[in-house]
Amino acid sequence: MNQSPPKTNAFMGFATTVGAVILGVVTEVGAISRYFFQAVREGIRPPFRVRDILRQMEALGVNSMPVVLITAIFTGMVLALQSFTGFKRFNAESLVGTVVALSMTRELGPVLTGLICSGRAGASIAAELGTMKVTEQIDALVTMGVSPVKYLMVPRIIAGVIMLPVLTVFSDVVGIGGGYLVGVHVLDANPTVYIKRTFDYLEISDVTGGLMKAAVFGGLLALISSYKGFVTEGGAEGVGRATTGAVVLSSMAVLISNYFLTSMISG
Amino acid sequence: MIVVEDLYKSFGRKQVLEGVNLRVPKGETTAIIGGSGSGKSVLIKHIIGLLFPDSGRVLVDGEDLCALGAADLVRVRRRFGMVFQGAALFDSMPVWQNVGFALLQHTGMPPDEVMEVARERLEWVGLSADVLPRMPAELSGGMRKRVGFARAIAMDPEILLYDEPTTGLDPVMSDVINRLVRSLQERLGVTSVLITHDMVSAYHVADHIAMLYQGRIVATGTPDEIRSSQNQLVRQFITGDSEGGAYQVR
Ligand SMILES: Nc1ncnc2c1ncn2[C@@H]1O[C@H](COP(=O)(O)OP(=O)(O)OP(=O)(O)O)[C@@H](O)[C@H]1O
Ligand SMILES: [Mg+2]
Repeated sequence: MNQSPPKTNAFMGFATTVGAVILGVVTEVGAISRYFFQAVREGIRPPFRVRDILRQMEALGVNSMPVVLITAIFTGMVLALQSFTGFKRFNAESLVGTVVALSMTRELGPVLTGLICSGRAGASIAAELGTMKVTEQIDALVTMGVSPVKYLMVPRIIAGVIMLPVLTVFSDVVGIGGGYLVGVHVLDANPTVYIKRTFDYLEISDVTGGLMKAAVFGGLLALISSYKGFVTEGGAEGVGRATTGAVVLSSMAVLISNYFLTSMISG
Repeated sequence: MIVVEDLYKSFGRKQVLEGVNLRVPKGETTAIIGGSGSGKSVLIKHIIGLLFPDSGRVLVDGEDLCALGAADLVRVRRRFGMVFQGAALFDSMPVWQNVGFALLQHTGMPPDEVMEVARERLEWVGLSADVLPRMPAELSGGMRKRVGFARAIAMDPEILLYDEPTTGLDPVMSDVINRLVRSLQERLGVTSVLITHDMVSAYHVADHIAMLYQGRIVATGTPDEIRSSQNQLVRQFITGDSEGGAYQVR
């Protein structure tokens, strides 16, 4: 029987939970960093598995492209609508194109692509590697003198670092296109003026900054999802847990790193 | 010679190995018997450096696996071949690439020669060349197991570890595998560690039998010594008696 007053009890319970969560996060971040350094160390040494990298790039692109495009076009469209409504209040409707272009390239293109790939690619990486782990395929690799980090993780990270910016370029273009469609055909903006406004204030650094963020997101989500796959335990159920864990952790990593990357890049 | 010294291993709060001592003489076959969940797979994974102990040592020809750096560990591991309990074939590649995986990774051997080696090793385990291009998912459990066997012997290892190679095979196919284990040892002089539940297989194949029970080796001996052992645990295990008093199922 527990004799202590309920209030203290609840607080102790809460503190214990918070403590456990913080400890868990710190431990996990530490483990992921170790994998990261190992991936760098093994990744810069030959052989470079170009074919594996291309295969992963294809998987990532094919997996995520449709969703990225659909998300981008509707986001561009809704951005145009929203900024038009807001800007009309102070007679700045003509800036809709500018806002769409800056928002897409600097922020929404990379972040939405990162989140979508965390869901699609992150889940499939964790499920594939997790299955390999629980069926002892990873052990089999190790016994044959092949490093799972080199053989499985490195190609996925490189594919992520390359493909996320590529997907983001598509996302930027399609998003700006979506904004144009709504701006010109729904909101009756003058096409020439809209296009001029789109590019007047857009600097190349807006685009490149966004692509740099995307590259980091790609590396992060591939690293985290591979890690989740490698540490999978407990059969099919464990693979399920690893998959959801990978999606949640990758998405959080994208959102959190986005803030710091943005402040570094624009600062 | 492989020496396991006072090996302890736990997962979380679960103590699996509690002071295992074992010597595996060179060029001979040692069978490890023991109940389900007694830690046989965990033990064999320590021998090839897939798991590392909480305390104790594993010496392979005098080299302590725990003390080796990554590169040396790879070098030692490549002297081994391992047949996994669940075959552990790579789902994403056809049978011939599975069997020839180590050759494709570590040697510059062209694919048609790898294919030839794969064909030969598959023949040794009683599989025909038709399976070469097939994917693991298309094979029966017994065939997968034998492909796993073929993969383990593709690089002519000095030491072979078998985790229940005959479990799930029919009696005739089990006999094929038993004879193969025997002939590899006689022809190539490989050192083998064989985990099994199957006493027929252990008697037939092994030079030495060791019984793992509750995290320790409780009996060792030649097949004849084990067969006539007075140790109550051993008697109960080999006769399959769950109510003899000494042996506790946990
Ligand atoms: N990676 C791991 N994490 C946690 N527990 C583990 C792990 N590997 C094994 N165990 C536990 O260790 C114990 C021994 O497992 P092991 O696989 O060695 O049994 P076994 O003797 O090979 O049994 P079987 O004959 O059924 O294959 C089991 O209780 C298992 O749950
Ligand atoms: Mg086992």
